[in-house]
Amino acid sequence: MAVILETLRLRSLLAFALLLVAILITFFVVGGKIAPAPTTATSHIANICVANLTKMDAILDPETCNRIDSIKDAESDPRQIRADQIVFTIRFPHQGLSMSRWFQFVATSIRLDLEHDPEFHYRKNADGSPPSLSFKATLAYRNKQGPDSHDWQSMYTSLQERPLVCEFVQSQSDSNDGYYNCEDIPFFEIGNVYYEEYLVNVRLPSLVKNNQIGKITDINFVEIHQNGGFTKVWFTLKTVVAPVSILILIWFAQRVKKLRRDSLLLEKALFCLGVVTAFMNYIRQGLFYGMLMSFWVIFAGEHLVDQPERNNLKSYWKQVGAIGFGCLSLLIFDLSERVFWNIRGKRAAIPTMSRARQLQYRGLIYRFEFLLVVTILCAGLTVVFFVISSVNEAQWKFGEEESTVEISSALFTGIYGMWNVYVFSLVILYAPSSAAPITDDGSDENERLELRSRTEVRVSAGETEESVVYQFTGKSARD
Amino acid sequence: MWRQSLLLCVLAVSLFEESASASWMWMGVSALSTRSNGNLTSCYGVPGLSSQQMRVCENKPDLIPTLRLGANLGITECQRQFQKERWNCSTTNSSSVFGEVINIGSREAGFVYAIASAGVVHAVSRACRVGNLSDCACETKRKRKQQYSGWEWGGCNDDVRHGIAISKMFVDAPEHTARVQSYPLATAQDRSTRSARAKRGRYLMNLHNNEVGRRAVQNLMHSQCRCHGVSGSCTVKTCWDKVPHFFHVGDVLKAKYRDAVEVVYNKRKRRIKRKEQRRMRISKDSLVYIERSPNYCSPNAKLGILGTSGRVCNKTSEGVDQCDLLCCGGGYNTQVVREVNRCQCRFVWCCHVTCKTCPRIYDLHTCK
Repeated sequence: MAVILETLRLRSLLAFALLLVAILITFFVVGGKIAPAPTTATSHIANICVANLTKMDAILDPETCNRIDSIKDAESDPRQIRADQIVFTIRFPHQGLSMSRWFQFVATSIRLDLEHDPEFHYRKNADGSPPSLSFKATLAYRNKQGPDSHDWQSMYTSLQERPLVCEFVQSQSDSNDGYYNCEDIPFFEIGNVYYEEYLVNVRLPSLVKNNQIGKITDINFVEIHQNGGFTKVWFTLKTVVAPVSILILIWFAQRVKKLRRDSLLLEKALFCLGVVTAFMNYIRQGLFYGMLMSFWVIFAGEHLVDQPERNNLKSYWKQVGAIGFGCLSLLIFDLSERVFWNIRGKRAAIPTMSRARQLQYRGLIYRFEFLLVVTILCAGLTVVFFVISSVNEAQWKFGEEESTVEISSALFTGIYGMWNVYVFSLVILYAPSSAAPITDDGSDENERLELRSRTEVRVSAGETEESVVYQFTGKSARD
Repeated sequence: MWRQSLLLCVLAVSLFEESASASWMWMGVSALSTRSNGNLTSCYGVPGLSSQQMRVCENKPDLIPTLRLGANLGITECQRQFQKERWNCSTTNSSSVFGEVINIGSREAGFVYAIASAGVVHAVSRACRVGNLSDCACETKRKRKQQYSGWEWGGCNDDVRHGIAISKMFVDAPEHTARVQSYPLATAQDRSTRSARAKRGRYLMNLHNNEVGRRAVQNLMHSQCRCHGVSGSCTVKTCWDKVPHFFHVGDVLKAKYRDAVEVVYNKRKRRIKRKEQRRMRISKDSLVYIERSPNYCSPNAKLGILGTSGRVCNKTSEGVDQCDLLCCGGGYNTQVVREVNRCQCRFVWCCHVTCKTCPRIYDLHTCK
């Protein structure tokens, strides 16, 4: 039984390819031109509040608290402020803005600014390890508007201890002066953004703790969330893609069902891949990549004409197990190294075979090479795009005008679209066809060959290439 | 009432504008004496603001404390950078802040303009991050995405861009106003006079140096990134800008001060050009000056130069604070000083230190 790829005329195949390219471009354009960057980081500097001695644990809002401008002011303050009265408060987002449920997640980090002071050194521990910073953090939330508006409510409180890694940068104008460059400390993450405003209070216990951290001038806070616009574009794409992919799957299943035989392993794998891809439109990507790799192994195996047993998942347990560890590059290497050359070798032997067998192998090789090239292209593009996106993000961009394309968003939607297009074009092209292959001269013979090629016994995997070629030539000689 | 005071101010402004154009920095000096965030919530006491600067103050009153902090930051850093030099960036009580010496287009003046302009960028971007300014990042968002530019759609994080925009708008204003005014008003004869030409050269020098200051902050920005993909993989990477410590900006500008380029005003092309190697373009990152520095050794009341007499110098230093250099060869006095210092302090991260006192005896050298 032939698949659609083999029965399709060249012109229709080209039209189909053009359609796919158009769809792909649409995905990239949607990401690059419509969507904003996937995430946004907003920098904050903590306001310094002085807690009331009678209510030391109260949640302090920078707008209403007793604010001082700097720690220096606290030193000269006539009220004799104590270290445990100092509360660093951060309200996010900034004034006049509001968090949205479209933001999906919030990840934060803090960084300390230390001043050089000969009297308070930042001192490493005796063993050279960085001193630890201990702080008590409280996260609170509130809603400003609507019927469920309320004042700050505490969400979590936690006492944390983290290493504080800082490096002294000496000033060029004065060798006794300088400042410290401290590393960012990951702070907390929120899995869903349910409330409109959030407030963080950080208190640094003194006396026993925090006596090696030097003199703090500021606490910097960075809040990262997924952009609402990106979430909207992403959800829209998934909403459009999901029904289309389900329709294609139903069509494929019906095609297979119409056949008068049991479905082949390859068909099952293809169907599974389609299902997982359709699910990816809802769920995570890890499953998709696992299934994709399993499919590649099965596909390669089914087209490899040197395996004794086929059409049986058990014979692939090794490969599928290896995929559990998931090594994409190894797989590509493996595919091109072992299979590609093997097939090339066979092609050389083709002219020596009978016509029917030639057709059979040509079909197999055509099918296989087509997929392999597309697959390597897709995988290569994925790798290239991830490299581009990480290089692109890491640079601080200057210039009067930024580029007009949001590259990282385009890469996200583009790669998403690319794998969807890839899988569903496979499902379509490799669906069993009712028509006969174009170059075929008799369906009877074709069917007979199909049967034979499926049951032919070959040497087991791990044999050297020579033996395969030997087997092959031996077989064609027998023919 | 308001209009009257405004009129008065405009009058006062136009009077001052002639004598010293740097005096918006006075906002920073007044902040040095009073407690920061003090009473000055309007610009109506500030001498020598241009009309455009007054307009900025009126339209954005919440910007005023930040501008003061910016000027203060610049002046403080200038004094830190020049503490060992013959001219130590000392301020006077006059409206021109540094005295008449700032009206000489020297490399020192160039540094002051650059550092003050950088100070405003720094202070504004800091105020944005603290939350003291209401219209920061979202306002200056690029035009292309105006329709989607909302916070919810794409976020806004252009604090430094905003600082640069404010610095351009406020710090460059006197030069822009003066340039525009001087052309239509000046007669042909006027234009050719030496003073008018020098003035135009000076405006261009100031504008150039202001830009150098802003670029110094911008060039020192570097992005900090964080990955937050599945199980720590870097599928999603978010970066943000880390604003440099202002010491660092000062250090960089001080190095540019040493390598400053002497320029002349080309009246035909209305541009400034290098004095030597005229063909070579002036880099956007190098400070320029049009006049040689005056002699900072002896006091000059007219220019507001204090001289180096009485300055503390270092006998053994190899740098510019070495006694022979700093005192301009005029000799120095040495006295033995007995001082009580804080020592063996107990570390508490904030507010109070408990220290012992230790006596210290050392030689103090001061210029004659």
